[in-house]
Amino acid sequence: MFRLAVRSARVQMARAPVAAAIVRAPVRFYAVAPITKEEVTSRAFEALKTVAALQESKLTLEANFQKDLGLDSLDTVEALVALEEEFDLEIPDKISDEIKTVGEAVDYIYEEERKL
Amino acid sequence: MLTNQIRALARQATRTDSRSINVRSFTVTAGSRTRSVSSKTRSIRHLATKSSTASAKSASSASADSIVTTPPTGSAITLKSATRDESQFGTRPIYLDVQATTPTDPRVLDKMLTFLTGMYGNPHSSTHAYGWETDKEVEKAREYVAAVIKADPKEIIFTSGATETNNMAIKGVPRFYKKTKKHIITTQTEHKCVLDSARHMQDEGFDVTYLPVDEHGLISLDDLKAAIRKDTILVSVMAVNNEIGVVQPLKEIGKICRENKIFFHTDAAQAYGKIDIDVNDMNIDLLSISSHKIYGPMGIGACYVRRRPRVRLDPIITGGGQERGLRSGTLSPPLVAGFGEAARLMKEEMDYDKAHITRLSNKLKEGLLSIPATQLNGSNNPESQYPGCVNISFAYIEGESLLMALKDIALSSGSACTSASLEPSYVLHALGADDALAHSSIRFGIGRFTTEEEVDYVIKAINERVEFLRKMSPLWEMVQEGIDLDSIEWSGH
Amino acid sequence: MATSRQVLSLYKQLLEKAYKFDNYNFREYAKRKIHDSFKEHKGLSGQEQINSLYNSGIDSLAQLQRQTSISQMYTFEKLVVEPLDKHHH
Repeated sequence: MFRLAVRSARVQMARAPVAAAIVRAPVRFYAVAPITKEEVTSRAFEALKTVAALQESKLTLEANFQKDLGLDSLDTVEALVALEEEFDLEIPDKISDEIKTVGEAVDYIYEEERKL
Repeated sequence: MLTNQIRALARQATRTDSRSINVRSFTVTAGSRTRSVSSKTRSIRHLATKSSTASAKSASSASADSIVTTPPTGSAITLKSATRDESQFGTRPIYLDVQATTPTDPRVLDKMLTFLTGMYGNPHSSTHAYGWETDKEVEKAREYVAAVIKADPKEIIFTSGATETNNMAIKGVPRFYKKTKKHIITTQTEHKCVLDSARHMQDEGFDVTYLPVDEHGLISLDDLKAAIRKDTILVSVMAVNNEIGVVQPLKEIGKICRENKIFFHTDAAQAYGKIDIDVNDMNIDLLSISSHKIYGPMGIGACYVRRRPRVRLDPIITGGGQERGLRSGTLSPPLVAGFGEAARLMKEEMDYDKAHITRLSNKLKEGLLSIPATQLNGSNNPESQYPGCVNISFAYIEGESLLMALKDIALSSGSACTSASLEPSYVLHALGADDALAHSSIRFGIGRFTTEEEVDYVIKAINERVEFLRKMSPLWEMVQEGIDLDSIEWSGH
Repeated sequence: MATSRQVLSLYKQLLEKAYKFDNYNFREYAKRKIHDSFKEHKGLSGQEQINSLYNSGIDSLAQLQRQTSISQMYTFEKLVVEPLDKHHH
């Protein structure tokens, strides 16, 4: 409940600037075809590629950010922020602590996207 | 062989005609001599340059557009990139003209807003807290500005910018000492405002020596020594050239000046915060600084004026005696504080910015100099070249038409002050470049906010457009056909 | 005393804010600068130094909050290197 309230407040804030909203904010108020897991995965991979430490990496859903992809704690934060940006959502600290693999991040995002 | 050449030339003439470039004024006279001296080359190139300049001038944008947008018959390439969908991207050009001015750093704006909102006191009001708090901030800014060049804050005089400072130094010092001293030394590649101030002093009866530069833009210390007279009062040599980015040997010049008891002024508008400057180590007596070249606000700059040994000058602006009486008038705290913050950031981030700019600069140079018949203007020695200023000549192309073909990149072919005219750069001329070379040069400015993505875009765009424009250039085609341009004698006047 | 958890949280907040610049060049600079500053001091162990950097990071966060808001209030055309349709909708 509280999280929902926070979310709506955040969304409003982000959409306040008119010009930015036109360009960036995805319109999700109306009936849009529901997002598929594949779409989330491919967009997530694309976003992760923008992280300097992941530019050369081979991304898979099973890959562990730190063990397999060799990220340090800072890089992992960067990867999660890149995902937040791409999907316009915020991953709370509590949850981001739990996310260890690319797949777990995709799962979380997919669940959140379906709630919208 | 001769007939072949004539045929080739005739072919060029008709082709050129159909491309609506005005070269009909050419008349071709094939002389009996086949090899010619460089002056002939110059006249050929000069002619070619002139004709396209003339067409750009006379028919203005219409003819300019036709140069840009009409592809030559049979040519498959166009100005727009074929590899990406333009409608998916924005339209605002990439900014690559940081020598003209730099974007205001958000951290600088943040500082300035404090003053534009609540801290509005007059720093010269000494009777209340509003004045005190602003005054304190102004003095803090002065410290930051001084620290970049290892000066004492008391030696910093705030002015409206580097142009005012250059005027102040070049007119002020000689005027103060005019009873005994009558001679000023400067260089041929100075900024317009230095040259113009020097010319003013000539009108006031001073002699001015304009030192020549070598092909890299550097002055010779022997020339400087030879130019010094008993009545020389001031030497003014810019630190970093605004068009080609060459760095003069400040320390050596300072040493010579000090030994001869001559004041040394340097215009450091392009150098301040970007290269290491130590006014004491380099024996600099006066130094010009501009705020908007270091991501600060426009409309403010400073003059460093040495206190020991004291430099005296006749102020240009007199009145209330602010700024040690050298520059009267109420200071603008938002501008001063913004300038101070910009200076603080330059010092703090000098190594960080330098590494970034050098990396992008090397990438850009590599990507552009791989184009055939290009040339880097300036010095190859990293010690005497500022990497954020990359000036390249593209032979057989006119710089202005390349600029017009590059509407998606904000560039300049030289100084912003002279780019309104289509005259070739006097700086490149001083380097010994002929008109054609001076006309075909473009300056690329890389700064703190330039990204690698932008540099990649620029390399690709320039490669495409140069190829495109050269396909329309009769001279380029002749070169491709193996005709030695030097072996033809043209006359067109 | 700033814990590593707090430092990571600050890093996350700063990066999130950096993305909010509407101006492409400021956005890219802020991301690069934040990344490089944290990486540079990654191995730091002196508590006093960590605290002082942490505090200046908190100041930067407030500054970023103000400046990204301004950047969103005064917007300009996107640059030729910026994709218009970032989210593929």
